Amino acid sequence: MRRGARSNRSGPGLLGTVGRTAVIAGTATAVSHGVSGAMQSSAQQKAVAAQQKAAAEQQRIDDAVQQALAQQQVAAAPPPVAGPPPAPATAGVDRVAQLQQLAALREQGILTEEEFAAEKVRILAS
Amino acid sequence: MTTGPVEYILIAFPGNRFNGQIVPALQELVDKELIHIIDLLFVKKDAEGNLLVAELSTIDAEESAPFDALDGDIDGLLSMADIELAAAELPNNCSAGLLVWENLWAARFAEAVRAANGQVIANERIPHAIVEAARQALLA
Repeated sequence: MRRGARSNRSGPGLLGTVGRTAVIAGTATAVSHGVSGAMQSSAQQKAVAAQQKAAAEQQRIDDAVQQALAQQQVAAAPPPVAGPPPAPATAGVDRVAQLQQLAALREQGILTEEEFAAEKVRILAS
Repeated sequence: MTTGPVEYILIAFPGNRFNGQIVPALQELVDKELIHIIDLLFVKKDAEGNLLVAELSTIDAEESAPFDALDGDIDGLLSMADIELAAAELPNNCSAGLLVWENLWAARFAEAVRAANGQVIANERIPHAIVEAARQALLA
């Protein structure tokens, strides 16, 4: 392996234009992917990619929220022997309660401002 | 003159660096004039997340021996900023090899695209697992 004469790595470099944008689209538009036979436009492909990234980010936030809520519920649970059975989950989830819990998670530093904002948008839209 | 597409890759390994069959496989690509190596170095993130850079010329002889016969150039085109950028996602306590190479096999294709004023808008390596999953989904 030959080594160049001026290879002290102080030149302009190669990776300056490499993008490292993290796309968290809180309100990603629904784009149908997997369209068989039809050619997707570049814009559609980008929207699909953005949606997939948003979905992955959403999943991460959901997992974090679920975990934090589970921990809160464990801490507040009554003694196992004498306690009443846990209340069944209601079909229509109370959005206000969700938002309050979300704010608590942000307070505790479990969610970042960005995650809180993205999740809030999702709750309000649900 | 560089005419084939140039790319870089950062591959993390548990324990040792490029070893075993990797260097011979690279040598085969070089021998067949499919690629030309432009840069090669090693990085490691310690437990605290500090990035350590090891040039081929600075690692000890025993570890660098497999690369002595590997035909290529370390042009030093990657800057330290490049290396930090490439290694941003490298987890702590992890060693990795950073390789920059020119795809000689695609030189004619690249020139044809340039001649037609084509512009590369997007280009990505798709993980093997994703391709396999997509293929399986079609079979289902």
